[in-house]
Amino acid sequence: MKIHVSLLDTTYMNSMQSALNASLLRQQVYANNIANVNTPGYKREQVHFDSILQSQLAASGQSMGISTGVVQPLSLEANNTRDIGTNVGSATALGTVSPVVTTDSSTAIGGNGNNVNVDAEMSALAENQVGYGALVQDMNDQFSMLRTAILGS
Amino acid sequence: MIQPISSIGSLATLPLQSGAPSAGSGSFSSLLGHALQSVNASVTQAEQQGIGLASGTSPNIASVMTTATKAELAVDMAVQVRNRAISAYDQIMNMQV
Repeated sequence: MKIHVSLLDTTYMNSMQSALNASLLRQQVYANNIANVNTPGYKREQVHFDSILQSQLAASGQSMGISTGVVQPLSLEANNTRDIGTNVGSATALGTVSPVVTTDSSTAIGGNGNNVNVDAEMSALAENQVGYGALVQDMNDQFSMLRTAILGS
Repeated sequence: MIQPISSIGSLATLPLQSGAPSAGSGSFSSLLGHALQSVNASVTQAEQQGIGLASGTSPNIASVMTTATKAELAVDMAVQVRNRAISAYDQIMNMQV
């Protein structure tokens, strides 16, 4: 069965997968920041993902500028790397876009060398949760569409 | 005083309703093709906006959600029209003549 190639291994699905992973990691990093609010010398960490995914999307030719409303040709089934006419590899690579965690030393540093601002971390945490919920909802909608198309009812 | 019934010839000059395809109108297959293309366009748009949400380039979550739901409804509509058409075909085929 090669159904997964055309239906589920798409740019959308893989981008969503990566974004969900990044969102989970961001949640852990922010929670870690809050937990270390009293640790002397601790520097807050942050997650970079959006720009990385954007450059990966641009590299795979699936940028946001793609024309909508055009019926795209069905991709050819490729069982071998020498088969022609598939760009499945680039879409698959989007499923493993890794976020980058960096240490933020730019913000104001308190007396003990700790630069965690609990209020800022809490609001970032809440924002991340809203984003995660939106991603899940959007993915559910897409799955529901696929299910309707497959089951025909 | 009874007025004679006027002819309905003027109906032919009425403008087509909005949504009807201008090119090749009247052909059922072109009508169906246009309808399916618009469903496909709506699904593609929802996917693009979803990718925008994933990559942080879409600032408006509400618009993404609305587009996704519209696409879902369009697909539901297309599938239901297909189901009813097949059911009508079955009924006609099973008629005793």
